Amino acid sequence: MFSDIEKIDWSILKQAHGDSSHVPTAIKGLISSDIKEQESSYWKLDNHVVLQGDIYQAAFYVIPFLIEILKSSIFHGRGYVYDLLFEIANGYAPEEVLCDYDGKMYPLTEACKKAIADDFDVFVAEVANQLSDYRENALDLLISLEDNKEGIVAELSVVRENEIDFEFGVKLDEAISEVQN
Amino acid sequence: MSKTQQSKITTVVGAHDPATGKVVVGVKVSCKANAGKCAEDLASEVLGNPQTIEFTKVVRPRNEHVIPRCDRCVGKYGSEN
Repeated sequence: MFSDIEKIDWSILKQAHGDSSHVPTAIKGLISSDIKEQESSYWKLDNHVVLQGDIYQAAFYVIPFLIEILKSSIFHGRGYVYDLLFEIANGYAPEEVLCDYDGKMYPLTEACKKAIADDFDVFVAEVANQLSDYRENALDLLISLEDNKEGIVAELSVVRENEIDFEFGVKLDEAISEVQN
Repeated sequence: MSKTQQSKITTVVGAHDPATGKVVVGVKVSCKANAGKCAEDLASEVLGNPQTIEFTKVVRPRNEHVIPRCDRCVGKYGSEN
């Protein structure tokens, strides 16, 4: 896990209260088997790379590692990962703060939204997993995304066809309707 | 309110000015106008930035989680009780 985390110079990336040197340890702490360490690690990311809806430069660089956790079979800290992705995807940064996403410069807000939305299939897979405790977290994140709406609706519709839980089926119907509108 | 609309409200806090008795609610919506400000700052502005303010816990409405006061607000308003 996190084989690329040390390739990033976190000391030059800004967060709400200074540099981001502590971020790699916090990301690793999210998947600790110790619930208290998960929580304390979460609050070293929330309130730092994202703070009450304001996103900072380091937030963009955290995203791939959060997605890596969701793609893995690790379930420790998964709820916190969804919370962070939600906050970053719905956050705001001044337009003059730019970053390079896929070889093109974007305002940080847009880059974060795109980087998260481009992995929407990961969140759809969580929604489709009827054994997961994080289906609603993934669904809430998907509803909030502003990019790839057509793809999200198409894949959620397939999940809906196979859903056997009545209550969650209603939530899926509501989610599909909200993404479409 | 739809979930999409809810998602833009990041945090909410109650605030009380003991000198005047005035009570307000600070609502942080993620947008340009509020950039760099916490819900505590927004509540303080409505109260006229008095020296002493009593705050409730900060809550994230979308999941009702309590949000710890950030380092900057601790420096500005003191630690949470």
